Amino acid sequence: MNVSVQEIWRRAETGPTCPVKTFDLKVLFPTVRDLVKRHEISYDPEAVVPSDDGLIDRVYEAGAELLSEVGVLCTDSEKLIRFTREEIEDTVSLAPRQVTVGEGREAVTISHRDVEDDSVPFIMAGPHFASVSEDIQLKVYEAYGREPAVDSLVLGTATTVDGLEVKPGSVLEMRAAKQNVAAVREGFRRAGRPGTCIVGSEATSAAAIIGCCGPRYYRRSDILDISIGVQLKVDHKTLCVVDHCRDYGCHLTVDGTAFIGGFFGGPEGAAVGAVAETLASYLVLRGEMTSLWAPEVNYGPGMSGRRSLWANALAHAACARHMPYPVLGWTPQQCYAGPCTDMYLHEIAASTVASVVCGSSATHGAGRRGVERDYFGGPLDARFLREVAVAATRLDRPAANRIVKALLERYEDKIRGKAAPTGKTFQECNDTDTLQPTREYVDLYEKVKEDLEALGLDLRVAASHVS
Amino acid sequence: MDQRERFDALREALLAYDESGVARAATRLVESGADAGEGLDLMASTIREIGDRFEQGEVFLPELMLAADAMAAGTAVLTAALPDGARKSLGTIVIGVVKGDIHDIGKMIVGAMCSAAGFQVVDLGVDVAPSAFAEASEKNGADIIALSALLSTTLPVQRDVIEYLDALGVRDRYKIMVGGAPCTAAFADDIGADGYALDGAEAARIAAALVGRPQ
Repeated sequence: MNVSVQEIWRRAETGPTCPVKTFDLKVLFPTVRDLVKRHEISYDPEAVVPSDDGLIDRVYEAGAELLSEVGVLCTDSEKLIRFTREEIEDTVSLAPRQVTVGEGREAVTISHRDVEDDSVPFIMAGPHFASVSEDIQLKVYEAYGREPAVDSLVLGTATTVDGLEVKPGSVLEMRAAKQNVAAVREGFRRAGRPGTCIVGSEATSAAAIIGCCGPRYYRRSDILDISIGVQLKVDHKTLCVVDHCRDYGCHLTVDGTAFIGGFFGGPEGAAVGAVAETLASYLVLRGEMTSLWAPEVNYGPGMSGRRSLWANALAHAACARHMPYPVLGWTPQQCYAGPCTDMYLHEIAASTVASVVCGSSATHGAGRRGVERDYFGGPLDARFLREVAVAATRLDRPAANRIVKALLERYEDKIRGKAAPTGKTFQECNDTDTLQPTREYVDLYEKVKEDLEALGLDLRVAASHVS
Repeated sequence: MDQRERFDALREALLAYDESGVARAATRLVESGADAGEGLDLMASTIREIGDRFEQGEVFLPELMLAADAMAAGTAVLTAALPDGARKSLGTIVIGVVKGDIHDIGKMIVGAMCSAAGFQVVDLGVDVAPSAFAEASEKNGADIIALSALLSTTLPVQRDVIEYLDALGVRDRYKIMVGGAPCTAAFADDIGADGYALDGAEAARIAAALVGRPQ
């Protein structure tokens, strides 16, 4: 028996009462801990890319059991939205296997990918919600627009409007959000790719997100990324925004965040939690695709550390084997290092190889954990991302694991030591007149590619898919 | 049960994150005539161990929060048994996520780590208006106000809180700490904050230094 959207709304107001703190500490955490133990899921730092299908299936099973045992908490009503296991499986089986986004010549079909799938992954690139200075906004988007590797553009965040600082929920936030989407449209029009799909929104208020749904801003062919609340929660605002977006008719990707060290516990619990959140994201929000990520709480919201890669890869593989959904995969969206450094490109490569081999699409955004203004490399990042992603489709999991571990050895001590290199901003990585990457960044990119070739990644195959 | 065993029971209950167990063990200590201050010191060192294990990724946020709750229960019993004026709290921190932002995991980590370090922590939750920070700080006699923001669009609201306190003429009553993913030391300086931390452990160390009790 599948569960209708209206039934979700009803349960959000009539389910069992559960205070948020009780849910986090007394319900969620002990249940995850018990499931991890019961399903014998243990972290293996040597198997970052999992080859053990039995383990992958147990992670899926534990994730589905977690959702059926604890449900999703509506934080406004403090009521639990509960599901039976049968409802979960029946409803999720209705999720689409593919969706076409963008328009005209730029229309692209995103399909479900299996583990070790040799299909070319969908490429999402862009500043990915990192702050973009207002004076370079248009140039940034035109630069990405000129890069053929980009299937869709994940926009940045505008923090000023005509120099005025944006405040959340204010009219300036709505105006900034509108100007931001309009700048992407114009940048891609100038680049000759006007139908390219935009992935948004960076806005936080319902008014700003809903206000951007219209032909001048987010088209029906674009994707809005809506998060289910961290650790199996949802709120009234999210339900309102999603209802409006469905009514409007744009595409929806819904994502969940399973922090390692947070309420799901360690990497094992985060993998289980990420699966549960992915299932919940369809049941509660009905996206057409999903993205999941398991960042570390202790080292900032980066996702390229060993435990994070392990949890992400496992959860991606579990979803790929058991759900029809296309998984977009946010895995490498935020690097610890800044652009134009070896570590930055190594982080992108490790994350991309791990996620693509485990059934995900590929995405990359910014450096410096995505939180410092203009620290994204621009179109060369996107080209590198696509080349690595395509090359990864030729790998099996043991080969991918060897490459990922070799890359981790090059940078993981810098994460632990909080010593990731600062790198350079977009303006320093690119000529802002010609919108071409600097010689320095191109040379570094070529050097890192040689290094990756030596590790066994065949990037020559990828070149034909890029230009 | 001898005195050593009573202290051990307090430590074990705290390591098990057992709130009622800690309160019971603390009560037994007090009833046995043990030095309550020694009990508080033991809890402080035990919870620092838990905090260190959190930093190492061996203990997780829920355990840290449960430990902080258990510590608070024990602290209430033991401080009541201290002579007047001998309270051992490092001070009071009013903490919250600023208006417009609902991302609270970083704030919870900082709150728990500061509790573990020996502060009284008053958690105002998420989406907290500047006026609410001001009112709660006055009501609770705060020493420190800690402001969290995850988004680049909500980061400037940290400045709004400081400006609001300035406008009320009460800014100098408090030390102000800021943090959250997009926050940097340079931004903290720019808005006139007194302290900035990258993570929970550093936040607790800086908070202690701000009240003149470096650890």
